[in-house]
Amino acid sequence: MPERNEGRMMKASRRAFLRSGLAASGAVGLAGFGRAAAQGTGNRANQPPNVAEWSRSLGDGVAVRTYGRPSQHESHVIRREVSWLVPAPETSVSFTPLHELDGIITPNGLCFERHHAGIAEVDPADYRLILHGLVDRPVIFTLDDIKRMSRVNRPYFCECAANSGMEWRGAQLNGCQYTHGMVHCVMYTGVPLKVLLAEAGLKPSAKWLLLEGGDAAAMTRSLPLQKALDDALVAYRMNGEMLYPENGYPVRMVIPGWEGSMWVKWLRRIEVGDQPWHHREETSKYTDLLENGKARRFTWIMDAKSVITYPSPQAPLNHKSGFTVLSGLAWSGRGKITRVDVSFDGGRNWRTAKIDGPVWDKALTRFYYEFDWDGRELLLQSRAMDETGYVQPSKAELRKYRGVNSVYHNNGIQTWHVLKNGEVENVEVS
Amino acid sequence: MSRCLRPDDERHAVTTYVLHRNGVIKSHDFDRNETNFPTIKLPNEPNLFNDDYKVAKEEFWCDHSCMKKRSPGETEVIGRAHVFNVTPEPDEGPRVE
Repeated sequence: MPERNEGRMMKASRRAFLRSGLAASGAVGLAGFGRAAAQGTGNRANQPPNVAEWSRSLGDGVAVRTYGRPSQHESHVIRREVSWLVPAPETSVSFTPLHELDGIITPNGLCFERHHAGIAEVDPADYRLILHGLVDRPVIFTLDDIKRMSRVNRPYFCECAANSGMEWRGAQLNGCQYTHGMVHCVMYTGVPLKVLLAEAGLKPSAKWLLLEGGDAAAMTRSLPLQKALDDALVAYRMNGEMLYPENGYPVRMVIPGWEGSMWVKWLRRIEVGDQPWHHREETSKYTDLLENGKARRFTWIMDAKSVITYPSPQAPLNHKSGFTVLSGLAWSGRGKITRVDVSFDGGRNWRTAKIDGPVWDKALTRFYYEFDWDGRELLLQSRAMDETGYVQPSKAELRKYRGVNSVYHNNGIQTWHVLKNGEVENVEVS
Repeated sequence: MSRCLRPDDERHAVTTYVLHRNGVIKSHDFDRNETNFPTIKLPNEPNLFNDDYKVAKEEFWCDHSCMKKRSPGETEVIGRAHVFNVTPEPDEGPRVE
């Protein structure tokens, strides 16, 4: 079991480390850096004082790589799927490799995917957005129309309601890519939905919108008008580039802080109505069945949540002991993250993590906690708090209300068990 | 191919078939049409209720005050993901050229 008193553990660790470190090698720094180099890993022919192969000849010139890609040595950093989850890849999900990323912006090519009938490959010349229903003037917009309108840039996280959905009955998947990877965060460029609605003019009876995708599933969700007029965007760019096909090219909805299934991709049609449509994705799906047979619906908001991305099962501690930067992500659909705590002993004692980088409304937020790891077992947890005072609950607290029939909206506290050899496991604690 | 059904007979026939297969429509002779479609109720429809976290889970909005009392007693590992052995292996997945 991890030590109760982390302060004592760290002091002891520092003393022990000074002794063993000095005895082993005077050249290795206090924090343990330089150990790997001293042990001679890799290909010596490419290491000082030898001249590396990449230093001995001309490399590719400019414009050989007309669209840049990550180094060939990073080819393992990819979206992955869990093949047994669903019957077919066209109605499945691929997960963001959170453990391989830092900062808060997700690269476009690594944003998780969730499709209901595969990727629609839309020709922008034939793109049309229909806006009709309870409006004064039905309008059909072209992509050029939308790009010509006044626009805004906003960074938001997008999280699938089913993120962590496989963990309701207990720890199941060994890696934060699989337990928490249905989330990404990019900078969107788009037109506020209220600007488009103003073009058509809303009738006084307008209360709800139906958002419809242009994919073969004709994905539909009902959106209350209040949210539409608040901060919803009709977006066409992510991180400056046009949306990628798998993320809705050329136009998708952005519904800040709300479950990803409402962020309808390949947006084709918006119908204005006076009541919700109660389609499949808001009755049979995206509702939470409780133990008593009742089912929560319209559970749009993604509550505060966090996860430690390093160390985690796919990103173990490989340095045996010494200075360690624990790293993680926190987010809340209700606003800004105000604080993140981490625990080394499964939730008995907590210390406040350092938030680094910008803290944006409804965006991923990066936190770090620096410590000297002395090679002991740890039960790592993180807990996020947002500006509304909401504190991320434990899984036990969540299950008290939600039971284990649920799929969606599991924002319970995650536990990683760090073993003495640095390996990390997804575990459930009492 | 999706979106290929004619809006009249074909769409009615397929929806009626699906509703019958799932026990929502009991009778073989049910003639579904535009008029009686809205009268069909889904099995758990009366039990749907709107998200009530703000009231039902008010204790989640506890700011700093509750953080101490929420700490559990003795912590024990009661479940491990690796027991299930359902996580894809690192070398699984699509190849990147």
